[in-house]
Amino acid sequence: MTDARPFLPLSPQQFHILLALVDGERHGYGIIRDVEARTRRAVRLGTGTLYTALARLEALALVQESSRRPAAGDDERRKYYRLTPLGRAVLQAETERLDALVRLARRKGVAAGARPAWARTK
Amino acid sequence: MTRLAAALALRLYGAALVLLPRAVRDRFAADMRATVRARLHDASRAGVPSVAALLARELLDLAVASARARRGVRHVPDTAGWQKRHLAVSAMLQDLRYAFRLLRRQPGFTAVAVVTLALGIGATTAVFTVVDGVLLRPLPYADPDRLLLLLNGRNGRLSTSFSPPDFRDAAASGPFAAAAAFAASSVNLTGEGEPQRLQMADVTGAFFTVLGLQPREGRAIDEADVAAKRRVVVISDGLWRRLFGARAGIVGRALRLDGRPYEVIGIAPPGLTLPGTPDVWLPLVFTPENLSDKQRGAHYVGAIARLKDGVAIDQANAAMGIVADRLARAFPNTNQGRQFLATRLQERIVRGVRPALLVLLGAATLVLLIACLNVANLLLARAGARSREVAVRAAVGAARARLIAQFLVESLALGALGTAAGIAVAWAATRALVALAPAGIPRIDDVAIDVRALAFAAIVAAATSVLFGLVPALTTTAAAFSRAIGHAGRGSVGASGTRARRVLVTCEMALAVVLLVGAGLLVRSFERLSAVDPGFSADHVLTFHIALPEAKYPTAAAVRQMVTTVVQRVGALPGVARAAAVFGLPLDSDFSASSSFTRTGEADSADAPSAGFRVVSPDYFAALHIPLRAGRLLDERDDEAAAEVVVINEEAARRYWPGRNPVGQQINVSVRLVTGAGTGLKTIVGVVGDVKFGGLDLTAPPEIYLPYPQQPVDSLTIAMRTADDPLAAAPMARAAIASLDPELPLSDVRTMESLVGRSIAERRFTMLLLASFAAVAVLLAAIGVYGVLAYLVTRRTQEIGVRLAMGATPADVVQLFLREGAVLAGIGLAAGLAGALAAGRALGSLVFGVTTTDPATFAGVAIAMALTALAASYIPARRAARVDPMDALRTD
Repeated sequence: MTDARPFLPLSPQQFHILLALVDGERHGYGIIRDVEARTRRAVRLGTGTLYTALARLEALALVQESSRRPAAGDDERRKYYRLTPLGRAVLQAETERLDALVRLARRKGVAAGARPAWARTK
Repeated sequence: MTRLAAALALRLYGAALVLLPRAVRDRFAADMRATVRARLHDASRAGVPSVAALLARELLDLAVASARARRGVRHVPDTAGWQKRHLAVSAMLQDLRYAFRLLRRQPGFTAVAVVTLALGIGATTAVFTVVDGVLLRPLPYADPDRLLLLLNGRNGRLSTSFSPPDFRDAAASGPFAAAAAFAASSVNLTGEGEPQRLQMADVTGAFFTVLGLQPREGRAIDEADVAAKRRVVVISDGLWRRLFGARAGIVGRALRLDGRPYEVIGIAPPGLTLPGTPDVWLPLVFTPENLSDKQRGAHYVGAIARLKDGVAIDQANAAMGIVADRLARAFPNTNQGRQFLATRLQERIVRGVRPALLVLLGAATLVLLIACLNVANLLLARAGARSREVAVRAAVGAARARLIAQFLVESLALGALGTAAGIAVAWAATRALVALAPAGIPRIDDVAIDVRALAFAAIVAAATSVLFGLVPALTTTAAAFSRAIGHAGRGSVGASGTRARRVLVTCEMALAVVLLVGAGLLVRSFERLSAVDPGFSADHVLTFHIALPEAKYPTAAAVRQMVTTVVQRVGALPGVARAAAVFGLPLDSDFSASSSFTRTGEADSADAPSAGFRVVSPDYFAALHIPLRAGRLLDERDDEAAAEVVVINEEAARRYWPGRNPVGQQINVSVRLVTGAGTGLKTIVGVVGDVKFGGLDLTAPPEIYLPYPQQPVDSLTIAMRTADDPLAAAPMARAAIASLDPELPLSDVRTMESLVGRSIAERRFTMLLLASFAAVAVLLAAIGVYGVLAYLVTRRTQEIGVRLAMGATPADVVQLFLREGAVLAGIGLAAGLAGALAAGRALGSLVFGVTTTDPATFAGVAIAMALTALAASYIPARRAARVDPMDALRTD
């Protein structure tokens, strides 16, 4: 397998998109809603941001379009996306990298606030 | 309403996807649209403002993400700059939410403003769409800038027809990569259901090369087809759909055209409409006889050419000029004074409709401007009520720029709503325009709202939002910053606001006057034109075309026999008073021919007289009620065996036999329309009244009428005068002809009245459109005047109370405000009439029978506008007179 390290660090959007795909295939709006729900609406992906990021992730082979056809009654124009094994490995590596950083910070006595780190700039 | 807003938002977003880098767009555009559709669907449950907010957020996100993707930036650097932008954006979003909330709280104001804007933006966008589709968009041919139409002129008059040898020589003059000739005519199709008449174009081998077009299926006609005289045909996309339901496998099959089988070798792409709108293209073969120098006078082919790379159109004209001079010296009879010129095909195609379309675009822009002024006025009124809020915010430290920005965001929000509604208006209006537009506007069928039109609407909307938002923003904030907070107590914008409103209304009046004068001039032109006597009586006349195929009617005698029988049968039908055959029906652009001729004792020369060439059967003049002025009409005795005779019209008599009696004179006509036509000297036996031929607005040309038996043309019109509704006679005529030849189709079945109507349809269309613009403009201006006076009345309630208490009568008060209205109207009128005098020149080619400074029109408009302004002032003035002095004095 390709080494995951050259792909790091991920941008926050990329991280959230990969995270949204961990437990299954989703279509574009599904990703947006998953990220919003998971971050309690603190991270709201715009459609343009999502797809330019998806384009990049697809080009890096971290994500691929799923061959799954939408369920009956679903909008047939929708495409579904899923993690590639490489994507899963990169997500894993990025999580380890972030975890290591956080541990370093904790050891210096920097405590996490009440809000998650990715929500600070809001 | 929300559904409509969501649908419009989706279209806008779809259009904005062009911002994305190409690769991303190609891969994801459809999916992005599906995602945004789902988001809009969810947002639309919360109402229009959420849809608008979502759209704004998504468009912003798309713009930022696209820019980032284009730069290849992966991470947003978390710098101070980003923070600042972020703050500015969230402040703007906050303003936007606030603006929408305000708009929702004042539904009356919002509705009036949105409807006003929608009318302005919708009208402008619709007209722009038509102008863009007809005038601006390049022709659907390869490199249309280098595509030329060749013109052929003599004595300053340019025509599009060449003789084959002249075409050959002009085409070989050097500057062209390729050139092709074409001739339009029609052909009978049989063996595919009912026999029918098809529009046909004969084209030389280079035709498709010059246009740079490939057939959508099969191949194009090429030089080899022409050289081998192959019976091959390229059919139009339209015919392919109509006849074969767009089925595959049509290429290779045979079509029977005029009784002969032709192999279908290709299907043309849908955009190919040259010359006219042909159904089929066939190879045009010139015989050596066609190309001989003797035929230089026979002008019947059109010519297109493609410029070589690096050659300018002027160089082409110079090169052709050298050839023309050489031909003029070698063949003085036919070519003396003859020029060859080239013009861009696109310019030539749209030449006829350009002035009207540009005037309409100007008019729509004026309507938009008036709409903006009106909304600015409404905003000013509302800003007046908010001056206290502005003053408070200024006092607690808001920067003026920030306050102005907030006002602008509000007008942008209003503009966005107006645009959304305006796009709906434009969509409906464009469809109506296309449906109502007269035939003959080139490319009108392809006109539809598209990305360019939406972009235009968006730019217009943004510009107008700033335009109508800026005045109130500046005035209101200026008031707040120039005065201490306490003085803003009476909830007024004070003198500057009032002055601004007066100026705005005066401008509105002036613009409305300009539009009304323009509309008035066109209405009067149309009246004059409708009253023009065409020289014949158009009521109760049915006309249709027939064309006898050569395969079945090979000789002049056969043609003559058939046409005579058709005329007899049709004339004997019940309810038909007279029937006649005619080649060269008035006001019918499809058929026309003209020829030069010489009078007794004259040699042929470049200055030989020329006249329209009509071939008619004896009853023609009686059927159309064309009066005899001198001599006799043509009759049954003038058959192929009798001496050759002609009848001329008064214009020909006046022009070519001035002061003499033409009856008894002889002429020699150089052109023969058919083989078997009489070639001898022709004696003039009569003079008939003039008939409008090219259009009611043109003078009648000189004309020569030849008796049908002596010129048996095989493609002509049958005209019949009926006792009752002429169209009701059509089935009988069709049956009568089917009984003679079941394979002979009737085409262009029309009444003479519809031909007259069609000849003025374009003017009628322009007039109606301009009149409706003027009506909207006057309505908006009246609302503006009313609005200002109503506002003045409210502002001066206290003063009115004092006046009434001091003994002024209600009539005095009414008069006071009517005077205010009269001053506004007077200034507006004066400015508007001056503007109309200046703008009138644009109407130059569109008026008929009146000058662009027609005093009656100007006076009528002035009176109408003054009355409108007085009526609009009277309502608030009445209200002022009913003020209760005690109440008034108690108001703050």
